[in-house]
Amino acid sequence: MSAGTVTTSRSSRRALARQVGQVRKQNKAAYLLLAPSIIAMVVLLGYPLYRLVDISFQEYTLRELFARTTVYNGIDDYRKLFANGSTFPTIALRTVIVVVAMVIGTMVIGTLVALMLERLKPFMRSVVSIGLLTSWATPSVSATQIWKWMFDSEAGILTWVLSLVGVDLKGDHSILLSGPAILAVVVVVVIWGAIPFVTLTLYAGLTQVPKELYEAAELDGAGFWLKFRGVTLPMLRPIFLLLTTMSVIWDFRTFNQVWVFNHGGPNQSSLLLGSYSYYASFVEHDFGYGAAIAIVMVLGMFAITFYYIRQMVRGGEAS
Amino acid sequence: MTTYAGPGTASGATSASRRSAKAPARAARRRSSARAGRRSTRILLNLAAIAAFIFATFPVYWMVKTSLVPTTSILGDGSSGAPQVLPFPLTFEHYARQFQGSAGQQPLSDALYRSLFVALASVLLSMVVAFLAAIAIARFRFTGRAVYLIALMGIQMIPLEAMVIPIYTTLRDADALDSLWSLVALYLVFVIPFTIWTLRSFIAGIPVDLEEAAMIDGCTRFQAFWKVLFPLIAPGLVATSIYAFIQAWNEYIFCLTIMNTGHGTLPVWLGQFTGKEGTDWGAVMAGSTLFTIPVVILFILIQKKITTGMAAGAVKG
Repeated sequence: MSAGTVTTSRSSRRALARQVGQVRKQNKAAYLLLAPSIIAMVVLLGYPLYRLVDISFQEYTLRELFARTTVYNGIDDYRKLFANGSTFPTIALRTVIVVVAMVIGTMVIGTLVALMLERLKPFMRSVVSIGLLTSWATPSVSATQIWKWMFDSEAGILTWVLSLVGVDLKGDHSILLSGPAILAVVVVVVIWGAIPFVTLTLYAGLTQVPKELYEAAELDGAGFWLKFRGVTLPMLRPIFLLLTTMSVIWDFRTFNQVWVFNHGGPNQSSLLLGSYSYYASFVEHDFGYGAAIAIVMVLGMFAITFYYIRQMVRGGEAS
Repeated sequence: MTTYAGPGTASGATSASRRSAKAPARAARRRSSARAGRRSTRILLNLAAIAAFIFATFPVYWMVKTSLVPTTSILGDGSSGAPQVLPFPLTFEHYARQFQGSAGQQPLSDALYRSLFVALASVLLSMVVAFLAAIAIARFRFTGRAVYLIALMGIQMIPLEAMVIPIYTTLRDADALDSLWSLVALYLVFVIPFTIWTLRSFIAGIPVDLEEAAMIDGCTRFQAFWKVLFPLIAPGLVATSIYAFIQAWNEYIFCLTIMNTGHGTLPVWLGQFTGKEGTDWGAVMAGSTLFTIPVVILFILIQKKITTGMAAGAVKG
């Protein structure tokens, strides 16, 4: 009897040891697979990120950059963000408004176009797909140049079109002279470039939704809106979550469009947080302050998207 | 009710026949109105499709059109009449200027070579690195998995423009400035958080049983990954490599700061044409066209692979 318990406990201990060994072995294999990505990210992002944090606590201007000296100034750079007369709060608020407009515009139009794609005949569907691929493939630097050219105050085609409905963007009314006007066009450029990815991903998701669900909903007398809310939305929830979160992150970082348009001008009025950090560093040569802006921005974005990212990580866990 | 009557509907019938066959006529009318409704929906759908197509492609058309007309017609005569929609009079002067190049300017062919090298090398490397990491996440339970996943997302929130200075000084200290390989390594790191995340869901969508069967047949675990999993997620690899390619093809600021003058990739090369005294729109649009059209053609050629890849990836979200 007692011998029996000993053997069982010994075998169970051996089983446990084997399990632990397996966990350790799994760990080792996993870390081996992850090693290249971790090394690359630590060297080229982790270390520079550490330096960025370090710089944000320094007095770091051109002088320090070239002399390679280090002068710590505590949280002065951060204090400057909220000091009297600082443009940071204005730009942060502006960024939030612009990002909300971009994300809502992208998701709503992207969803509508995806629903449309699903109902089109194959020929029209490939016509629209080719159109989408064309705008998707257009580099953001080119795209911004094109839109800027279409809104040119002398000979822009959209300037002409708008003049027909009484909107004057010529001469003194050039959009380049107004921050809000530039940002309105930047929103359009970003949405124009972001719709293809969102649409094609959603369309791919739509093709995976079982047709029986729609048929069942139709038998229950559901119309377009009810079918969308009752079937499409819940089925595509993970995709919507991913796309919205990624859009928020990508749109917060909008840089090329703002910079190519007018370098954040006139008078900083078209700067968004992403370009403000660059502006502080490379126009005002205050790298410490630029770093502080970037860090506050990352923390803010992390706070906004944390809940959704946790859900996405959990979703990945369940699968 | 049915003002529009398609062929074979009852609205053209005489009143007599209508009276004699009231019920069937009403049914037919109802059918016809449903059909007309369906037809008008289809017309509306097609109109919306055409609108979407124009919205997506018009700017690109306008770029090509602008690059093909002389500077004088680009700017118009100042009387601000309707802009010309067709490229007439046609000229290739802007392209000729691009291909000839001018003294002190980086030749187009050099920038093209640099762009292709950096884009292809970073795509290939990132696929290998991301594939390995995605296997680890999708197939292994290990300590620190959640931390790794959250880090992947967190990294994508860093505004890379803010990282220009620390990355520049890091590369300067490593004596790695003005090197195409530095760019390759940077672009690799910029894209892998997203490609790992995406490939993970592709792999998660493939049953483990397939690899286990291969292992029972005598494959090692890594052979099973390579021989079974790799071909199965090929569509996913295509979709994600497109993303990586576009990132590398478009990147501007890091190339500008890290490479010396005259050693840039196409976006930086394109930047030389924006002069101080007003923009030379013909040159900018010709350069943009040369820079954009290869990618558009590539996209359209592998269109099917992109969409099937996305469909597969969308299963798991």
